[in-house]
Amino acid sequence: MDLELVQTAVPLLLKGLSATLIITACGIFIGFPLALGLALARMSSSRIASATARAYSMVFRGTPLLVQIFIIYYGLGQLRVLRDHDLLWWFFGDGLRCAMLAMVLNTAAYTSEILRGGLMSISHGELEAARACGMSPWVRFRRIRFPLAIRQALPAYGNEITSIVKDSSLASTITVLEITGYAKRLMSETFAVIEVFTITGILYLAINFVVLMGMKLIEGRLSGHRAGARS
Amino acid sequence: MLWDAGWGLAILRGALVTAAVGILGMILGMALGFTLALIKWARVPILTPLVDAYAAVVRSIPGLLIVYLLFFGSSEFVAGVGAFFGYQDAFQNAFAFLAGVAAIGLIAAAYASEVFRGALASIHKGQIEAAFALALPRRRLYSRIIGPQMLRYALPGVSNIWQATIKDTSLVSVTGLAELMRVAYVGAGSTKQPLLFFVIAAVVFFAITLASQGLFELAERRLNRGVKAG
Amino acid sequence: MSRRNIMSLTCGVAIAMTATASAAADGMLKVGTEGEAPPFSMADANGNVTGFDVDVANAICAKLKVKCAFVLQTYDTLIPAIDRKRFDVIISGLGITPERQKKIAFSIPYASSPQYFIVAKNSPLAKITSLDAIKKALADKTVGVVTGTIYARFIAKNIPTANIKSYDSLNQLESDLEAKRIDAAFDDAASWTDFLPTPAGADFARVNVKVVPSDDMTTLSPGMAVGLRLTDTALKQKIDDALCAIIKSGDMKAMSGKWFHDDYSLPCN
Repeated sequence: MDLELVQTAVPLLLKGLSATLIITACGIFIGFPLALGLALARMSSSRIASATARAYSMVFRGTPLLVQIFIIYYGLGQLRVLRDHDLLWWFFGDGLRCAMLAMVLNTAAYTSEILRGGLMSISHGELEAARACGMSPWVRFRRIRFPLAIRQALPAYGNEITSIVKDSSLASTITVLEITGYAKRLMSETFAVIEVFTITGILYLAINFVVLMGMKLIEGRLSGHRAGARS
Repeated sequence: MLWDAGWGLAILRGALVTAAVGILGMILGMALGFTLALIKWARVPILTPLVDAYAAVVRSIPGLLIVYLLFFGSSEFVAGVGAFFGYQDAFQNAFAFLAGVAAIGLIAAAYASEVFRGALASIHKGQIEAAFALALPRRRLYSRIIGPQMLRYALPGVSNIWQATIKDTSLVSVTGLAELMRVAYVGAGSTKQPLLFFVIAAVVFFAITLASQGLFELAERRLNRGVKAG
Repeated sequence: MSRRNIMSLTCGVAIAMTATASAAADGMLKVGTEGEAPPFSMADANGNVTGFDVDVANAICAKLKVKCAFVLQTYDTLIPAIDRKRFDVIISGLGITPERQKKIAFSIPYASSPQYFIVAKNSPLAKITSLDAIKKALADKTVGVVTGTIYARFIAKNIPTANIKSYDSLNQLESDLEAKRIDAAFDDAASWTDFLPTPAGADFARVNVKVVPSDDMTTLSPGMAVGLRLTDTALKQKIDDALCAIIKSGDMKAMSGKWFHDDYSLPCN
């Protein structure tokens, strides 16, 4: 491999790191609360809420993220209504913001399924005990259901975060200059396709490695007291 | 309006290519994934860490990069994929198609190796010991004892992999292969009607995933026939 | 085993639907082109291409007495793919640059058009008349180009502070230009000749600054040529001869007139 190429490639690709991290952060910090809301809506007694949440989940998990990104960026970009409205167009006119929106909507659907699994896994006995202690629904949620669901869902959510990092590469298809965007630009200038994409792959590997280490740390702290009994 | 220019037919053809890439990629992925799972399950000395590394790497890098790497990379590997399906000289003609299948298959295999390993581990050791005690030939052991039970345990995981795989086929559009996503993209560009084309593409994908889900649920019910709950 | 046969059948059907015809040593020339850059190459629903590049390719094939088979890919993947034998030649408005010459061989240039910036008709940028002025004006604006083109390199080198947006195809660039996501776009006159008369292009105009290769010899090209593998010297000779014949007979000028309404053909000496 050409050392000179590596020396020029790495700083250029790292310029895209901030966009990758912004998209990932949006997916986590906006997607997660949205997912929680969806999971609760799905489990609620209101039929409308439950059906809407179910439909949302099916649509966003049943179609590729690439299509969702194109619909938001190119599809909505076609609509005059959006183009003429200053604030809306500030949002939809920008590739990065459209990518952030698509990521949030997409990961919320997958995460809501993970959280729903976590919430449903709480044993009935624990909930009964909470009710017997006189806890209100909000306190029950805050102190029993949410923490237990998170602990159960953590491994699966760790996988979801690595998916978010990987999926951020799709933003390059709508002109966003995240890591893959710079990789494509570099490739079209140097024609060194294999080298450029191998370096890019290593970069993503490194990011996901950090994510997995982070998840292991959090898992350890949340489940410390169970260390001995883990199966 | 859009049927006149032939786009309707093009979308249909694109959907068929998408399905073909998905199905063939899935077959490749399952075959490779099962082999890798066996290696992990049997804890073969040098190969097991290699398999773990493979799975870890493929699951950590974007599918888009894998598609690019295979499309621009080794022609030998893609020719090998063609040969696997019985086509020795095809790769010159349909490189984009085979590279897409290879990429999809490699990704699916990485996830399948874990699903199948988990399924194999769920089979009660006692059953395998009993089979040895009865001197059942290896082939019988796999086809009568391990196979069916592993299939049952693996089915939910395989269903998830299929859902991911059929959506990953949209990534193959960057190679120029005329699958659904690419047709929608070119059509959107030519007719300047992106919303229409991409929504149609989304609907077709949704139909495929919905139908697949139904089929898998049917299969699950069939495989679980006669199995006591709990 | 019948299962293997079924898999082979599926594979075969899919390959039949997606494959381009196989290139025997004689009889077929596989041409790589973009397919999304009017008026150079446009693909319809069935994958049939038309356009200036297609006509040039067919003319060359006729002279070489072979059939042309077209392989469509995004512009920035054409050069990396030629080594992998996806196709034998690239005919896609390809410019000659020193970097590209390290990777591929070029035929003689057969056409050349100047480059222009496109902006909205009512934008203050539309009134600029000098290259320096437009460079200054765009220093903090968004400029759209197609990834991998010499125009992309030109902007990157000459207006480095601009927010450069690269698109995979000319169609996409035009879409976003229309959607006002970019302040200006930069490409060759031939592409704009096709865009401006369309209803979408009605709100746009060329900035009256003609950019020619001498404005930046390091990034711009003296003309567009056919791209070949470095090892295909015999083929290059044949194509050079064919192009010369086409130019001398006036066919190149006619094709240029048909698609660009102007004569962008280059002489053959």
